[in-house]
Amino acid sequence: MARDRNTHAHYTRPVRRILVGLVVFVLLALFLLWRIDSPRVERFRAALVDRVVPNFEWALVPVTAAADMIEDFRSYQRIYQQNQELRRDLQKLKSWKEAAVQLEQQNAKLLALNSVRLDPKLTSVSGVVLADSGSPFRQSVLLNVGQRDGIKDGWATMDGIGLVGRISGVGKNTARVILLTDSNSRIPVTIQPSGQRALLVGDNSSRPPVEFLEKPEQVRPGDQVVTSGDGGVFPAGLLVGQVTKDADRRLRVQLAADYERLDFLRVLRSRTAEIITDPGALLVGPQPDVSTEGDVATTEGANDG
Amino acid sequence: MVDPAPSSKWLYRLLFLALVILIVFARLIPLQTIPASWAMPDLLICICFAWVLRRPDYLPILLIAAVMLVTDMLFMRPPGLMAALVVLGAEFLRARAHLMRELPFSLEWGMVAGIITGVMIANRVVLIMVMSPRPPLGLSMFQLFITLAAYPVVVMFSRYALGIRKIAPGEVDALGHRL
Repeated sequence: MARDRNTHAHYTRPVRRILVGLVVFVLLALFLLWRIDSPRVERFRAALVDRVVPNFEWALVPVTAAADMIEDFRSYQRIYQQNQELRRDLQKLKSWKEAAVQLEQQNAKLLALNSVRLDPKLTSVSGVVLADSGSPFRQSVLLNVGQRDGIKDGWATMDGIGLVGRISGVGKNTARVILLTDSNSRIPVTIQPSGQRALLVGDNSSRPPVEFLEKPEQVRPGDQVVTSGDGGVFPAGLLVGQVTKDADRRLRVQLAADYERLDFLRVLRSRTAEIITDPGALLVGPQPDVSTEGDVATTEGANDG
Repeated sequence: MVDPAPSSKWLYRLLFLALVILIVFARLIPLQTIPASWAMPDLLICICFAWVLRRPDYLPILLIAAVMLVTDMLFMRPPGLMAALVVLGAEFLRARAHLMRELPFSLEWGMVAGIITGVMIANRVVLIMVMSPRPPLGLSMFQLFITLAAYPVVVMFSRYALGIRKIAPGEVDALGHRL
């Protein structure tokens, strides 16, 4: 080449120019082809990268690993600071975990509240527990619903699962709930399989005893306890809990409601019992016309049947 | 070797390829996977221009074109455009290599800086002309300046580590021909 340049410089220069022009032309043509038909060239590029880069893998992977190790080694130099940071993070995470657990339980309760099916006549007002009694001798909680929301004394209060207590004392914006465990609480209940009536008497313990049972031998631990509706204060059939037997063979009730965490409570609107004054009207109904009396009567009879 | 001059020429071509592989490798290592606000210098252009000015016979045009095209492909640049521009710049310098032999380095640096800047600007102008997506201007400017700053380092590395020096006036090759 050097010899050519020396001896034939006068005609190698144009040849070289042609070569340069050709190379540049080819490269620019490739660029234009890429601009016009990008997918094809990009496929080629992908194929090329696919062929070339894996050849570096044997070196890329260890070098990357080594660089990471160097980075790690550098980080050892500030291991104390890192440790402190991690401890702080751990503290934060702990509080978050606590919050998550609480929210999970709250969510489960709310879901239960949503899915509970009761007597459709019963409507309820939901309230949040603001405070408890503040005394170890009184078992009650304060709700953030009151007269403003139509709360009345004596209404039943439930959490998502079971009966909690009854309203006793209504303020404008708050209402106090006497819990079943309070020593003033007396609730008429039915023990389910045997159908016996009894009274749930709060005694300031977590498992109130069942009293005034007619035949205690028919009641087994595990029997379901529901409200009986006697006395017309509470609606019947609200779940209270399960019968258990304590050490001295007394029947007590394991309450269904989660007394550990009373957050959201539902106050059931109890309707005043209707007083039936005219039983005939309920059976026959109003009679619009004398001539069709027989037809109406047969229809009523068919419906009753 | 019977013919020492061609063997050293091929040796340096292989060395150039090895440097290219090293640069490609260094840029492909996934150490920085998040977008950075800075850029590495384009060492390949620096090496091409520095070597073309010193030993034009080490870097034939086809070698430059092939290497630049492959790196275009590997670095996800528009294929061919940068290669064509670098080839043009290298040929421009190659035609003036014999003039540069007598000039001090500062003038050479200025000239190379002008050509690298021209290559970058032309690259961007062509991309604008064909309405192709372009890298962010700030990052491109940053890379241009850091490339210009890296050029003396590349020259010194080539000079003292690899032994590529300018051809002295009147220097002849092993066969006694004027370079």
